[in-house]
Amino acid sequence: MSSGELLETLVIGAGPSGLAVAGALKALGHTATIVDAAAEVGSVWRTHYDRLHLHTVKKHSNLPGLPYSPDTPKYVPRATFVEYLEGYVAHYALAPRLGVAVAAVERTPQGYRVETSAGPMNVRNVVYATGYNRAPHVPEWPDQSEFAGRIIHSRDYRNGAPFAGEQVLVVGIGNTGGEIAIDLWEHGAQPSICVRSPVHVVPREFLGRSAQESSILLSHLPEQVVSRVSRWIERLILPDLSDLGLERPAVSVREQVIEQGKIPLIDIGTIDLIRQGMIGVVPGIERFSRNGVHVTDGREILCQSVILATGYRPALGDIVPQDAGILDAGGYPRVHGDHDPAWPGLFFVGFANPITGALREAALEAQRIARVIHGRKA
Amino acid sequence: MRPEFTHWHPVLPSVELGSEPVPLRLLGQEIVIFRTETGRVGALVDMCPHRRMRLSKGRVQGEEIVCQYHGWRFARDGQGVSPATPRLSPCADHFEAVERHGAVWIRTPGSPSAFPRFDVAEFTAVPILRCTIEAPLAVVLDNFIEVEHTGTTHELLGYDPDRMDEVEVRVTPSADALEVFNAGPQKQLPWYIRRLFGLSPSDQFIDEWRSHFSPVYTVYDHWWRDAKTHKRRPKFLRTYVFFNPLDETETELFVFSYATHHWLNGLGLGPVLKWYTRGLLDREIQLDKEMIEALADKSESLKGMSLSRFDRPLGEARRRIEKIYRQPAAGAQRPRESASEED
Repeated sequence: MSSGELLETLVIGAGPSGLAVAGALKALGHTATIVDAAAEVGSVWRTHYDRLHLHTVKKHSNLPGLPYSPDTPKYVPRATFVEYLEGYVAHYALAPRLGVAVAAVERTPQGYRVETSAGPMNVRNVVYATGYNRAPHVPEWPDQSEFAGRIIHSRDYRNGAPFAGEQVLVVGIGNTGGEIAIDLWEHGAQPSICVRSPVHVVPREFLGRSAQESSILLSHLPEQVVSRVSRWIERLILPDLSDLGLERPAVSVREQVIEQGKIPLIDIGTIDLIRQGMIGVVPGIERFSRNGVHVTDGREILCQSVILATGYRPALGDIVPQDAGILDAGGYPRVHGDHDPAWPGLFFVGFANPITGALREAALEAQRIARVIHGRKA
Repeated sequence: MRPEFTHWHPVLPSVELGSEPVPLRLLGQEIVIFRTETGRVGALVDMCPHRRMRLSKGRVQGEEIVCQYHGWRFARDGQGVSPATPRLSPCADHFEAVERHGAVWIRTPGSPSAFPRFDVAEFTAVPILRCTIEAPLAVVLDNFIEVEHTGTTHELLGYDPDRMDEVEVRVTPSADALEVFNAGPQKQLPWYIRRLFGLSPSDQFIDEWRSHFSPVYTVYDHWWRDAKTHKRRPKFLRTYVFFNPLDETETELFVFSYATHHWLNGLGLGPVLKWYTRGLLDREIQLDKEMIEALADKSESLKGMSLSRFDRPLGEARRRIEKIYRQPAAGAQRPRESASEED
């Protein structure tokens, strides 16, 4: 591709968000160029742990314009989701250019100049769909090098078989940590979860309705009503788990999601195993020792392996135009789902993780972005 | 204790465990299951280490079970107290116990065995079914890993007995499991059953399963498809059958069954459907039981039998029972620095 040619839209990332934007554009008659550094679409989803299912229901987890087939389970398994992404590419005849990495993006009079491993490209619109899980977040603790066991990030965890018979510490009780702890226990390991701060726990389904569907229903009500009602309802229906070492946060589920971007643990059985003593709960790590960790209550917890379920970071710093106005202090885009008037044609999609579902939000954002791009052409 | 105990066995539906201790039998061992006042479940060898009284004759007090004979008390981890001789600190043999999928499961404490994986998030659970069959483990399992009997023995889940020769059988053995796929013409069904499952009279019945051996259980998927287009019918049953040897001559089936949601559930008829489905399954299992118990020779040996093309899984299963089930559960057994703080 010659660098002189001006492309209309470049989508960086061939995961669900990027494909959603390209699909939504296709529906409006536009063809976007998609690049991804990996060799396959949805690469992150191919390497997530084996037993992962979407935590949101299929009705609210599809990309624009293509529902799941009727025989897809309600909570889509990981492998089925990957097949769905491949089906989406075929459905809209998208032709992602795989194995093409983006090195830098800078502004030009016509739009943006994107340096890629396949040469430079000039584009009017650039859409970042690299996801908030581009780079694993790997915290470090004092004396970590003393530890005789292994430390891995959840990105490298497939299943619990290699840990059978071991004491394993899972750091973090997000949805990944909660499910990996179940998986470890089911594979014959003795897991404990390290929980540093208060956490909300919601059942996956309540009265036959999924946590996601309840949140979508609530999101239609006015904000003042919801914030008042939700705390009330939570106290009523969510049990107090402080005797298990799980403190309830001072703010409601909703406030925690909106203000701190912290998603509650959607419980698929972790709490039941904690209650039965099959999964332990320990406070935050202070430092490592040879045979385990010292936690903040002074105990030494012995373990042969540590799994960091500490999440991901978007790691956008290197690949956005170098300007303080684009990313916030945490490295997340200040504006997403649309463009900032100061940066016309520069879009971010899939960087929100609302309680109504990240995939649902990405699909909504993708459609909005497609409409904006469609309007810019006129 | 026998090596088989290192595998997780389901032994009691949770609903059958109230405040009274429940005695049961597994692998020739008498076991007592009890629920403490905080709701946790304990499993001990059903014999007081003092004078061999059955602990199941006792009662629960706080977090302990109290022997009826001399009042000795034992916690879930077997640690005991002799009220009259406090320095004794007696110890009863105990099992690790957990409640999952509506049942109490037990194994040797600290074993690295894997817990059977239930993939049933979107299904409706049918109440647990149990049935004791007078025959040894392998002989009972035989009946449940071949479909040749389904035409003649069963009423619902079976093939047309006159077209048994058309039934396709595919056996795929792997190191630790045994997969079998069968497809063929469904036997004639009454119209109301066809309506319930949304079937046409010419449909093909698919009976596929995967047998596991840590512990011995088989996961069945029962479904139907159009004979010509092979288009799948929406209704579907997934059943987990665990084969618990009570002793050398008796085997218990412990059955967890799951069905796809039916539109009748939406009308509040879920419970009726659940119990109806359970009734159908129960009837089929009773028919199996009658046949197995009427066998002239119930020895586990296959020597001298003339076996058909449907019987290949029988030998494969026996090899895996010996190699996997009758051995201590495998796992990456690294030396452990200290005992766990559990219990």
